[in-house]
Formats: sequence, C-alpha cells, structure tokens
Amino acid sequence: MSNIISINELSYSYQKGKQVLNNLSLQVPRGAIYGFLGANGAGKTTTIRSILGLIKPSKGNIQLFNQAIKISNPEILKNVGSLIESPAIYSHLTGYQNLKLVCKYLNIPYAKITEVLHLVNLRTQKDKKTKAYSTGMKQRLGLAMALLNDPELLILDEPTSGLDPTGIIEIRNIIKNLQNEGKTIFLSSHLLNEIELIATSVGIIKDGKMVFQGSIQELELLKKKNLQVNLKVDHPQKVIDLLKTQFIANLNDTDTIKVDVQDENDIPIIIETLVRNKINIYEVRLEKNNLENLFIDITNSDQ
Amino acid sequence: MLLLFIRCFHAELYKLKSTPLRWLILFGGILVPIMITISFLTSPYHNTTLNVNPWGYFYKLTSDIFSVFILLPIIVLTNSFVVNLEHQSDTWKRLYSMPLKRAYIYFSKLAVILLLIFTSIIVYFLSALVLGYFMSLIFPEFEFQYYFPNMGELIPRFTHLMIGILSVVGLQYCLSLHFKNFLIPIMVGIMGFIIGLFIYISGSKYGLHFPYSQAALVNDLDIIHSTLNKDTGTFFNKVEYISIAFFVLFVALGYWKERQRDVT
Repeated sequence: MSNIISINELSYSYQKGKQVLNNLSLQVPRGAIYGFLGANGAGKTTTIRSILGLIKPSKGNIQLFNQAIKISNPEILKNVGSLIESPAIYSHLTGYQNLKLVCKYLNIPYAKITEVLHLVNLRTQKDKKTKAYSTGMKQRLGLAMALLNDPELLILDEPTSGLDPTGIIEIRNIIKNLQNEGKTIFLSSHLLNEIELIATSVGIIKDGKMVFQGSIQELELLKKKNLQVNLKVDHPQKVIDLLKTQFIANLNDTDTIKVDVQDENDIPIIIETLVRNKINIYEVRLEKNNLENLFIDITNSDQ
Repeated sequence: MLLLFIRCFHAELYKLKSTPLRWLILFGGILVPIMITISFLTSPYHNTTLNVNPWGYFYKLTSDIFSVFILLPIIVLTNSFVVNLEHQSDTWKRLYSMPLKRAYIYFSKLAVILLLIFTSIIVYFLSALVLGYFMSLIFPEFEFQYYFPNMGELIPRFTHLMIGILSVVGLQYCLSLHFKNFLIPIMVGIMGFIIGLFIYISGSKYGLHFPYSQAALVNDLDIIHSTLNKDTGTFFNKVEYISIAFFVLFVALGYWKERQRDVT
C-alpha cells in the first residue's frame, strides 16, 4: 500500500534550544485512518502544521502524494482538507457564509455547501451567525469547511476536543463514513481510547519523537507483551538463581525482584516454580510495559 | 494568475460583510462635508462670493480637512481591521493551508484596503456634491446650482491624494500584519498622525520623508510649504515619488516577512 504522507527525520524548534520535533518520521498509508497519539505538547500540532506548510521545519522532509511540501508550492494541498485545533471561522459571518467564503477562494461551486452541511448535520443552523454556535457546531462547521474541496486526505487535529459524548460519537461516525468513501484520514488525539476505536494505523509521539508506529493490531499485541512482574519473597537471591535460566530477573532497591516476561502466561510458571521450591511469596505485582506507561501518561495528561 | 487574484480579492471583500468597516468608510467620507455644510449654513453670508464658482472653495476647504484629519485615521483603522480579522479569528492557519500562494492572500488584502480607502474618498466627493446642492436649496446665494465642480482640477487633486497616502497604507499594513495586538499599529498610527501634523505645520523638511505628513503635503504645492514639495515638471510631484518609493519598500518588506512567517 502506498503512503499518502511520508515524513523523514523532521525536526523543528520554536525557540533556540527548545526542540519541539526531534527526528520524527512517519508514514500514513493510503486509505487509512491514522491515529496520531500524544500528550498535550508532545508535538502533534507542530507536525500537522509542518505537513500543511504552515511552518518550516529546521530539518527533514515531508512528502504529500509523493511530492515535497514547500510554502512556494501550495498546489499540493488541493487534495487536502484540514481542521487544526479550534476551527478557523469568522464569528461575524453565518455558517453558510463561512463556507461560501472557502468556495470563493477555491472556486468551488456553491452547491457543494448544501452537501457538506448535510454531511455534518448543520443544515438547520446554517443561517445563524457562528458566534452563536456551540463548540460542537463550530467543530462540525470546521469539518464541513475541510470537506468542501472533496479532499483525498483529511487532516484533523483533535476534532473531538471540547465535545460532549454525543458530539464525539457524531464526529467519529462522520470520520468512519469518510474512510468508507475512500478518503485517508490523519487524526490527532491525546485520547488512547478515541484512537483505538477508530484508527487502522497508529503513531505515538512523545517529546517530539515517534515512540511507536504500526497497525492497530500490532499495538494490541505490544500491549499484551513485554510485561514486568515485581515479586516480594523471603529469599530474593535464591529466587533470582531459580528464575535466571528462563527469565531476566534483577533485585531492585526495595528488595523486590523485577522479572521481565513475554506475556501474562509466564506468570503462573514463575509462581509454580517458587511454590515448588518452598519460597514464601508476599506480593506479585504486574507492571505495565513502557508503551502502556506511555498511554497512561497520555491519558492522565487529560485529567 | 489574474483570475486567482480576482477570486481572492472577491473573497476578501466578502469577508467584510456585516462588519462595522462599511460604516467607518461611510461616516468617514461624509463627516467633513456635513461639518462644513453646517458651518456654511450657520454663517451663510461670510461664505458667499457672488459670481464665483463656489465649488472650488468648498472642495478645497473640505478636502484639506478630510485629507489631514479624516483620511489618516481611516487608513490606520481600515488596515488594522482588515488584518486583525485574521489574527482575532485565528484564521491564518486556514488561509495559508489552502492551495494558494501566500502572495495572493497578501496582495488581495492590500487591494481591498486600497479599494476601501478609495471608496471613502469617493463617498467624501459625492457627499460634498450632494450637500453643495442641498445648501443652494436653502441659500441660493451660495450659487452652487449655477456651477459644477471643476473636474479638471478635482480629479488630479484626488489622484495626488491617493498617491500621497500610499506610504502610510504600506507602513500600516506592514505593522498590522506583524503585530497580533491590533492596538500597537493603531497606537503607532495615532502617534504618527500627531507627529506628522506637527511636522507639516512647522514646515520642516522632514515632512517630505515622513509618511504621516505626506497626505497633507501632497496637495500643498501652492500654499504654505510650497518650498518643500517641488513640482517635478511631471504629473507627480516630489512627495508622490517619495510616497510611492516608501509604499513599494513597505509592501515588499511586509511580503518578505509574511512569506517567511511560521503560522504557529
């Protein structure tokens, strides 16, 4: 499957010394819903702004539809629709007028407005000034603006931000329908469950670096693998000797033993070995793997 | 290319729908003619010279006040309003992520600003014309009804004025783009206006090179500062050449900065 977005070793600094993106590479397959996951401030929006040519990276290159993106060559963006953070709308104009404005810039027939308004369920509110719109309505209008040029690639930065559960479900359904129509969707979020529900591919960014990239199945597999078990026992050194043939076990500062296991099936094997050798077990605690810890960081940052 | 520019120009103009800017242009244009009309009507015989075309004096009086006291604030406010609409709505990210070169957005916005300022001059001219005839209905002794404004004199006058203000338009556009806080370009404009007025009144030679004085100097070939603004023997006088040079400089500088700008 060809990639619709391809980023290679992208770096960007806002101020001298403050690196926002650090050698970030990612590939978005054509037809995918690519979930771009990261905590607030991880560099998601900066990556999106780089893709759209809004900022110039200090290093690296970005290819959209196999063409390098440059400020001097914005024509590449004709097949891209975007919604970056809060929707960019003029509050003194109505929803319809905001859409008409985009049509004027891009020479799109006005008939398309009715179509996108129908898609985002804003037909009855189209003549209302957008300053009277709720957050959800503004997000839907932003989405409608992004869809006006019938883009092949849709870039959505936190599209469910500030929405109530109904609004989130509505946006999620719209995104799923758009994928069914053959569009590629690049969706950034800081909510793991949001991405898990909708994405087919995932990229996880932390401190401007890509820490995971793969399909949603690979992500699920990783979550179940590479676990760590913490044991509190009466003879720690003996336990380490007993387990070292099968596992990597180390004594840590708090007199507990850390044992690296491949998956949850290894836990009963460890316990059985210890019981057979008459070791008293005081505590068995499963530590989440690094990726899982990262997810927790991401999820917690929202709270 | 031209079609693309026209499309952007239409969009920029459409964006100003339902904004207070149209009222600013309208009131800015009619304010001085109304004030002078009231002054004429309150002391009619002081302002009457029989058998002389009154339009010349009426337009001279109103345009001197309009170009110095009204047009400059209109330029400052129009620039700030048009550009601040994007800063305030955080819409640069949408504008610059469209498949359009930044040049189209930059120059179409500038063209809209120039059109609005030109419109205020037209509103001024037309309102003065209507009010002149209105006065003649009340006091026929003004004799506005017997003559017509000398267009051979007025058209060059307004053309000079439009060229004379280009430097301020360029400067204010540049400032409005650079500063997200719209109060900064407005404050700079107010300060420039006050300083420019003092420089103009003092007759200082620096007025020629100070954008905020140029609007007053441009039509002042034959009055107090005739020694400053030399007639060059061409259609444009010295101030206009300087104003055009500044305009080109500010617009080029603003575009260069805008092209480099990261939309964060």
